[in-house]
Amino acid sequence: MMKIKLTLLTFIISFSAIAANTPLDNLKLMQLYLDKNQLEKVEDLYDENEEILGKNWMALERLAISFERREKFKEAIETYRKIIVNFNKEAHEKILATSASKMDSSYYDKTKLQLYYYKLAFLNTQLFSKTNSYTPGNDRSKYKKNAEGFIGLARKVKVDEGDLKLLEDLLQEKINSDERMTYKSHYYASLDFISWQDRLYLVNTSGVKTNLLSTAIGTCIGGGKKWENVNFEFDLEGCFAVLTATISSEDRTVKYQQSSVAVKGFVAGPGMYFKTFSDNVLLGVHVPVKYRQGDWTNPDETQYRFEREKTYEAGYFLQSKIKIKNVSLRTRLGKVFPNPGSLWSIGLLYDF
Amino acid sequence: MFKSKSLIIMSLIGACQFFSPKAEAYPNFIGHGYNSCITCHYNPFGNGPINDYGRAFSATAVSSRGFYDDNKPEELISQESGFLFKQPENKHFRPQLSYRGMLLKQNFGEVKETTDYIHMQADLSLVGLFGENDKYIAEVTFGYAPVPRALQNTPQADSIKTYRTREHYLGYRPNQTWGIYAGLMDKTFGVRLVEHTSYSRTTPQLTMDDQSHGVVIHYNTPSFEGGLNAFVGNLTQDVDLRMKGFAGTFEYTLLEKNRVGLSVMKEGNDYVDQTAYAAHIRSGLDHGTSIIFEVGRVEKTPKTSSLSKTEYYSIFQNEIRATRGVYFLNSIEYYKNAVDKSYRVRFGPSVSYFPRSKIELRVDLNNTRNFSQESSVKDRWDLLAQIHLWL
Repeated sequence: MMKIKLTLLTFIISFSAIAANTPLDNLKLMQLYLDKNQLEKVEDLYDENEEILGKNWMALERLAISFERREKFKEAIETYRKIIVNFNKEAHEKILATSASKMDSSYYDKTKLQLYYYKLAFLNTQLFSKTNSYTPGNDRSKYKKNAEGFIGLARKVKVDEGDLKLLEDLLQEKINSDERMTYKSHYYASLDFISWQDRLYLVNTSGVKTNLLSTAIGTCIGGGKKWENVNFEFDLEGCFAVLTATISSEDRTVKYQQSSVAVKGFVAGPGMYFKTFSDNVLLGVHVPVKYRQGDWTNPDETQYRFEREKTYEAGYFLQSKIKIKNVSLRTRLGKVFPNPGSLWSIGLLYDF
Repeated sequence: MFKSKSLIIMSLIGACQFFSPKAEAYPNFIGHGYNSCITCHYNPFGNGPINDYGRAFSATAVSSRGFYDDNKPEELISQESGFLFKQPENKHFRPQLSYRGMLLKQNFGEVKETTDYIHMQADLSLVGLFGENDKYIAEVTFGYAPVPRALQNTPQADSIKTYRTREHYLGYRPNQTWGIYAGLMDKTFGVRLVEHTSYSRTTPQLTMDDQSHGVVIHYNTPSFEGGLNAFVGNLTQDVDLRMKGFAGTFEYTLLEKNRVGLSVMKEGNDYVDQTAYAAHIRSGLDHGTSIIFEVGRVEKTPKTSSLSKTEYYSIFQNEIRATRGVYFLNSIEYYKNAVDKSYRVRFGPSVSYFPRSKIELRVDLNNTRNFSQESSVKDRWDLLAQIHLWL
């Protein structure tokens, strides 16, 4: 039974299409296609009869609705503009020339300009909301400007304030979202407790090496610049480190021990954080390049020399950061090569 | 006599350093908005079996949905969180089976790396609930207790029982605010972390086998929670070893998801007196993410010598909920012995994965560094991989 009904309906529509040869028939058919959500047929029918239907505001209105439903927003805008220019020009110009406070409802009572202004505001808002990083900047600003302009016009002709507020909220949401995606840069200062364990060698005149292990802890003061958006944070930073170390030989062939040795150095490098889990608790990695030198005491300069007394090293940090307004608590654990121990730091950052 | 008992005590303490989490309290869940342990546990300060709500919360908020059919409703998952995957039919009794095992690689990555598998826990718990609003409660947990590693393959190991009860008590809770509990329980001191090997648990001797018989009074309101605990030692121990005394912990709620707390404990036996103080803060940040910070001081005064010992510890933990079922935990611990001025810092990043209800997998990497004026000692790395099952 259902199948028969569908066949009959298809037949009626097809027959009507063939039979339609007056603007009114075409208009009825366009409405039928709209009702059946056969949107492409609306446009096909218009294209086939553009010469006649282009002069009919009701046909153009149905074409615009079809474009809108198919999310062909630019075409829908163009169609509504055509309706305004061709059929409501006088009223439109009058509204444009009149300030909001002096607006008289008689200017637009007999037109559908309230609907068209709202539709244009809505369609431009949609276009703006769908922009992304590939959209040319000019287009983005044009859609936003047009949306704001038509919201203003719609407000002038007393379109429902709730509907307009909804559009303004959509615009603002997109503006905020774009802002969150935009990288912003800040400078920051850092103060860390830092500790590392590294190796140097005491080499005698025969070339025999004794492994010395140094465990150092101190502070590292510095700062950096960061670039962040809603998803990521990248930074480049450096700090000057002042530490004290205990150093002793790892084997017993040579006994060497010294405590409270002054060690200086710097740690610098790029890093990044993911903001995937939280805006305020960040996880990331850092690639530190470390330089250090220490006031190691040579037991006998005629017999021994130090190897790796001053050294550059590089490695990695796994880092986490907890942000509370401008202050962050940062912890980092990693390794610099070829040292046996870890490199870690616990510190505070202040964003300027 | 004293020497041998002290040796056993110190060995037990030392052994615990290398054991991994057994306690089942998750104070980090303040990040989920749960300030008090009693929401999910029968014991008001956590540990031991979890209640029906705790089981449902674990199944539907903590555990991943990854191994469930997409169409399976949360309500059904919640119902299956009961004992043996069934919704409890009996309103008076709640059994629970719990197992924790750990693969431990000490000196990970070094020539002297060792690998062990430890059955840390295999417990059967039974909770009895009676009266209006379950105001009478009885709980007993009985199970396997491994011989401490330091005593394994020694003559003392033969005298150590490998099955024991770690908790049994009777409780009376006339209303939500007040409760009184009597029996064998953990002492109320500090934040009862899941990691019983942390310095905040080992320094005041509150590890896996340090429960004591006593009475706990619990007071709980949204803004304040406190517990007072008078104890007489574990009655299964020899009388001279039993640590008798009192402990108390108090927490005040600040800005809804933050708690600041103070703890005190004074105890002693025939050989040593111990006094401990601690202050802590727990904060819930974003959904499921939290930080915990505790700092403490412990004085140990031997009764047979004048060599008292003062120790300090602190712990910072940041738990980050990556997604439902996955948590990153970043722990930094500090321990200082005032006698020789040496101190240790331990970094312990870890990942916990709850693939589905009743299963927890966890991997920890611990990096311990000793700071001493005497020598520079190579860092120690330990890898801990655990499985936790409960029914």
